[in-house]
Amino acid sequence: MSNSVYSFAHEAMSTEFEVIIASDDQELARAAAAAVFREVDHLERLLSRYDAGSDIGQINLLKTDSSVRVTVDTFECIQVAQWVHGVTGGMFDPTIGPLMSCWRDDQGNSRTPSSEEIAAARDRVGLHKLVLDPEVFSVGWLGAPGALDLGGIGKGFAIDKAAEILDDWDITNAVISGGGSTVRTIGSSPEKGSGWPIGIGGQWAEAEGCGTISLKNRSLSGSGKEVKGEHIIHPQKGRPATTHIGAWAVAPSAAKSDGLATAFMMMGRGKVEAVCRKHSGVGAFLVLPDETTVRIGLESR
Amino acid sequence: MELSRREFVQAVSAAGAGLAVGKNALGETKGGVDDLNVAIIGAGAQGRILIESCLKIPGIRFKAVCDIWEFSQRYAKRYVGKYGHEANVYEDYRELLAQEKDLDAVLVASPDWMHAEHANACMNAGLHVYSEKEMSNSLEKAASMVKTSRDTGKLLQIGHQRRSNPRYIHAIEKLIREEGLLGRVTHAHAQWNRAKTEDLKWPERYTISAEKLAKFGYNSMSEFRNWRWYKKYGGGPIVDLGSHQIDLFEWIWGTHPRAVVASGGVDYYPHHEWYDNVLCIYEYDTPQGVGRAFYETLTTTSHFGFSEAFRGENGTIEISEVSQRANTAMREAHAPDWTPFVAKNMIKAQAAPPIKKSTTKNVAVDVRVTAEAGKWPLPVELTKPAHQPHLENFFNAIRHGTPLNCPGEKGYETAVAVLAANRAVATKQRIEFKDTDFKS
Repeated sequence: MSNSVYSFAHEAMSTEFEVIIASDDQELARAAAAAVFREVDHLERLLSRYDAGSDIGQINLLKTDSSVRVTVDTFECIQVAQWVHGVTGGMFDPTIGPLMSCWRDDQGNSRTPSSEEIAAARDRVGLHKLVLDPEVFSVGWLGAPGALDLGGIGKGFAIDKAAEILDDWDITNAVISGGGSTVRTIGSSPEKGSGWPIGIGGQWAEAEGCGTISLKNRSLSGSGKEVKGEHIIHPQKGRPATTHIGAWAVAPSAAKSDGLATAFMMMGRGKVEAVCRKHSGVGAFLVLPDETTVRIGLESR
Repeated sequence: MELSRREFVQAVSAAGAGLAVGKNALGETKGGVDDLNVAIIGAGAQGRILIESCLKIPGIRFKAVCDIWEFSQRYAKRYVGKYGHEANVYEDYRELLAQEKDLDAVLVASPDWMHAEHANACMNAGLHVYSEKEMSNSLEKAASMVKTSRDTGKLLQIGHQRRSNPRYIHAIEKLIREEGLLGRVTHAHAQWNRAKTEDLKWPERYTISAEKLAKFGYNSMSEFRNWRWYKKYGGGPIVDLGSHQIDLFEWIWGTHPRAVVASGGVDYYPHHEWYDNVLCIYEYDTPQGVGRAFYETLTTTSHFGFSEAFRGENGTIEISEVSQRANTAMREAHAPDWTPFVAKNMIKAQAAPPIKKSTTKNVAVDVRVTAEAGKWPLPVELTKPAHQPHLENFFNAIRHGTPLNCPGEKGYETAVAVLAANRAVATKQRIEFKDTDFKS
């Protein structure tokens, strides 16, 4: 096994991507990281909400009962979103935008909308309203067009695609992170024989003895209330949700862990446990509102 | 709209939970008389963009992929395979043309020096061709493509995709040429500047053997990957980047340049053969008087990115292929009132001051911008990937006889103007054009 570890960083998707590669060949590592960053930029263009010509831009411009063909990458990303949406009972919902907007004013400050406003917004929310045709990779809205924002898993999805690129480049030991909130590990670190040591932030994990976990070929994502006073809106109720202080999810892919961490924030301990039991490779760490910690399927290193 | 309302509703109810449409939802996917069978020669970075766009166009089926590099073959085959297109893979285009008997058209996205050989062989085999720009790094070879197209009667579309972009058609055809929004356009200014880059590398196990590289005319794997820097294979940044935008100057003024002066050199990358920066000025004789256009392409520093400004006595239109970068008209203080143009929905009302702006460093989609005050946003959006309308124009020409937006003759005229900039740098001379220079 090689002993050198190289790190490369790149800004995209409003965050910093980092690729850490264990290799004896610095030039190979640099070239592989450059290929990864080209792919991440490519995915950002496809998934950008601010470009009318991007896949997401086009989906969001669709009228009722029309559809548009998207690239296979976007299609796959939506399919992962549907999977997370399904296993979390709809608590992860990338169409929640209209509801989020009604709890904020034009300046981005929080406000309380009327019940009518909430009801109107709820009509446009729900991932089940997005219909996919896998034969020609087209996407359309059922009923009133909604607003799709894959920001909640786009970063994780880009990391998963980056892992495929690294495989093309014969990189077998690496870590890819997006903004520090989602990490996917490939193989092992040169020092530790099995997996990479990955930290779970905050004092709670430290106290629980899982401040650092060993992760091999899996992903970890964390979610928390980063901005004070920011609402997390319950996709079904349309109102601010009762949330944990923090939630971390481990999953086989970064897109899945990304989406699961977001949903776990709003899900009761029993429901999170059920998801982890049912799906192999999925684990969680929760900090409940009373600072009790819950650890499911995570081993300390 | 791809689904009729009835089909859509049926599709949704067939899927139960509404997660996926049933297989029979789309009649058009079953293949019909309207299907066009296409092959791509050259499945590298640019080929991939064309493949992605084509897969969004109904009725286009990839039957074959040709590339000398296994890495690109594998990528393209896998990619179109996800869409259910069973593409045969070829290393040599001659083999492709010998084996594939039910093709309608070929997309050529190989390195520039091979465009003519590939396109000519395809047209001679009875196939329509969409060729990436630049037609060639040699005018002689570029002219041969136009001749083959004429001799065979096959369509030849050159990949200056802005010519089919509804945003550019609106700005240039409607606002500038028809409506005269800017009055007389006296100047134009465009640039494509990129941050410094390292040479492209390749995964070790995909190194092409020296023997095969030699067979296809490449001196080394590094030259194959970085062909744009070498005179044998390409035309350098002024051609790779500048060609798209210098093409627009001819569109604005409806005429060829009469002269070009240029400065540039290999100033930064010692191992490049082609100039890593070129700055040039073109002159045009227009019915209203002289027009001058400044163009620069820099590959060591990225300020200003890529955009074009058309500058007239009454105002300027600034536009970029990525609309977030530039998509506005700016009025001169003395100009006639522009509000009637707003009423006609030719331009949008002046925007309020910017509210929020967040930035990332991906050069293509880097800003969320509310247009600045004093700027009148252009109302047309391109709601497709940038290359898709130009490909649709090509396929519509095959199916319905729609005129091509950039036929070979037009592409040749641009090649004459663009390649002359390299000559002006090399000779340190002002290059004057004759009208006959542009005849292919």
